[in-house]
Amino acid sequence: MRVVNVVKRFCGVEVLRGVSISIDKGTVVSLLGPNGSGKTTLIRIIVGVLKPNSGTVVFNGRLLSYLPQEHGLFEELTGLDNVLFYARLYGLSEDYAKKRAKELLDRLELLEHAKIVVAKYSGGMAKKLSFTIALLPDADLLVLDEPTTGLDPSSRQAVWDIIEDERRSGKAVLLSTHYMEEVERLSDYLYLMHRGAIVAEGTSEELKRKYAPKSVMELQLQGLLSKAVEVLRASGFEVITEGAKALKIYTDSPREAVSRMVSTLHASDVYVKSLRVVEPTLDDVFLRLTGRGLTEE
Amino acid sequence: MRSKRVRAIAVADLKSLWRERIVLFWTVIWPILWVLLVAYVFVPPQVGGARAFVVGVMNLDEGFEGFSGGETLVSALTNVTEFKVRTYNSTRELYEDLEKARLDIGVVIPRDFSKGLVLGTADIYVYVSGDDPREAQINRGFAQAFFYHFSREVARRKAEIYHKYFEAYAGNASAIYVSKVNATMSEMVSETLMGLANPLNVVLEEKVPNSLVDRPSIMGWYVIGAIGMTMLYSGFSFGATAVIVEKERGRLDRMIAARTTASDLFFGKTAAAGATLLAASLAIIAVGKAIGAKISWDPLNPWHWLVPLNLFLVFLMTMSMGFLISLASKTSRSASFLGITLGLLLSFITGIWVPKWMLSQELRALADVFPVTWAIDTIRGIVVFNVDSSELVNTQVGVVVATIVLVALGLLSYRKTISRYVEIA
Repeated sequence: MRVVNVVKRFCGVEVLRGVSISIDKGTVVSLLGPNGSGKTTLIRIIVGVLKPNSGTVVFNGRLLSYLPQEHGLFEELTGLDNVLFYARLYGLSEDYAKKRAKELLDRLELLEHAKIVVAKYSGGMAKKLSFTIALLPDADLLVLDEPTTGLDPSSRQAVWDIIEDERRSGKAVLLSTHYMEEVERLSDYLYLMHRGAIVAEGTSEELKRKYAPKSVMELQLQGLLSKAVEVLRASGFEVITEGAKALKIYTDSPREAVSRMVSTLHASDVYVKSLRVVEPTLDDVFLRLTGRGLTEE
Repeated sequence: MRSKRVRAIAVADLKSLWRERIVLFWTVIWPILWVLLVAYVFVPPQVGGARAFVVGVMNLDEGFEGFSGGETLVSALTNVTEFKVRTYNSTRELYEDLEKARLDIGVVIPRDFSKGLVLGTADIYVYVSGDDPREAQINRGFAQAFFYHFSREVARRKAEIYHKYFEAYAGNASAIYVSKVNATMSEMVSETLMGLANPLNVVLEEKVPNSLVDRPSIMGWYVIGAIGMTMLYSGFSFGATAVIVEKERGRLDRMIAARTTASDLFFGKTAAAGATLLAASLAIIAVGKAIGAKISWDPLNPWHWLVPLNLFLVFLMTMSMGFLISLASKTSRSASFLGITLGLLLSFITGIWVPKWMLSQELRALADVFPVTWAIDTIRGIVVFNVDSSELVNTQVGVVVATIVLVALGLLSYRKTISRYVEIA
């Protein structure tokens, strides 16, 4: 599946600005970006709900399946009724749908709730049912918009296992998510989106290598944060604020940076309460590229 | 494949609708409640037959020369089918019962009633009561009518007596032939006296509107009205929420991704709403029949097939108007509220639930141009009033044309609404 130079405007505002992505069989490709970056609009174009103003979507497979952010379920119907409804839309036989649903619901520990009306489900149960429905048809492309939001850790693990199985069976998976761990574990390739454009692409390692610092120092401070930021930046540090009392410093040589940073702060009457040196994440990549974090509103 | 999708949407929507208690209430329970309310509160079982009036009588008459006018009057009152006579021993008790509306009419016959009847003019005291001014007006009318007839009967009797006195005193002169009037003197005097007693012979014939003929017909009228009412607000509501609710619940994108088209959704939704309203209509008719409403449908009479046709056309019209309403709504809540409110309002002001004769001149004009009323009145004409089929043709053509226009507008609105959310239409 290839998306080539897609542009989308709503009421004259360009929300996708020449986006191009591609997904091959047997791979999981992730779209990463904060809210409003255009991920869902791009997905809605790929699944055929919206038409691009320009550009093309090329899909040579037989069938794609879509898990939207909202559950898209009939709350007054049982889980099984919902499964059968979408199975009919996909033209699947009832026997096949029941068999496939049973297998998936069992793996997601939802089988015993299949005959209960969805209105009585928790958010996590509804999400798992919705995920099951997305996996009902033997689709060539799975488009999953935040498949694990609202799930507990064990359910999330089960969903990841199923996605990996789908990849192994040769399916292409397009994943949109906020969870770094999910991206790191599942993605073969990543597209970072910001303000309707792809700002970077590659594997997780490639992106970190290319855009992230070698190390990240996470600091908790005692004293005036704004003053600390001011003096550190004046001394040539790359500083990112995180909340009212914490900040991050990106550096390629942490050993040298620590002593220089502590003495700079000390001279300004700001004291370090705690300091941690960590490996950079994709959030750091995104911060360096766009100046804002992935989870910022 | 397409028919499978339409069926899937229709079945899921139908199950979903029938499991929502609020939908069940508005579509089936509410109109049935109104039918029952009409049957047992507004048009209770005695309506359509003769109404009974409770008449209290206090007879103080002492008689005159062996004649008791008071007893004659009480006997006359008792012989009137519509009067249920209660006699009293105390005037105070009669007044109390009148004040407490236990009596419709109270009659006090004074002591010298008989004497007055024989020698001149008798006094009689009549009091009317009633729970409301309209009721009191009816009671007054009945009391006046009775005493008008009683008074004439007394006058006639007196005329007969005076005629006998005339014959006795005139002797042979009463047999003299008067050529100018082609009668004997006795006959001429008799006619003149009778004319004095009864100067005007009023021929009174009751002509009432069809809808007020009898209770079964009244109930039949309201049963069809209840169907019209539920079709109006439910059709409006189903049409108004059809697309918005799918979008709000996140199903629209998912269905489109599963290759569902806008027309699959349209036909699926319409089929579910149609089946729901058909079931509701049958339930209302069943309740109506059970409480004695007149609804005669003969499947062997080809004209009677206009009934299901018109029900279908009413459904199409209201659903289409619902799609028009959806243009003015941004949430399913507001769409549903608007649909129900407008539907209820229209059913009360366009002759669908409230009879046209109860409406003001302006609302009657509105009812006369509202095509849903044409269709509902056609159904009433067939199943309640056995209207001649030739009378229905012109109206039927109007209903069909109006439906075509409204469905066209409804489809345009549907496409406009769906294009707000998805770009496949």
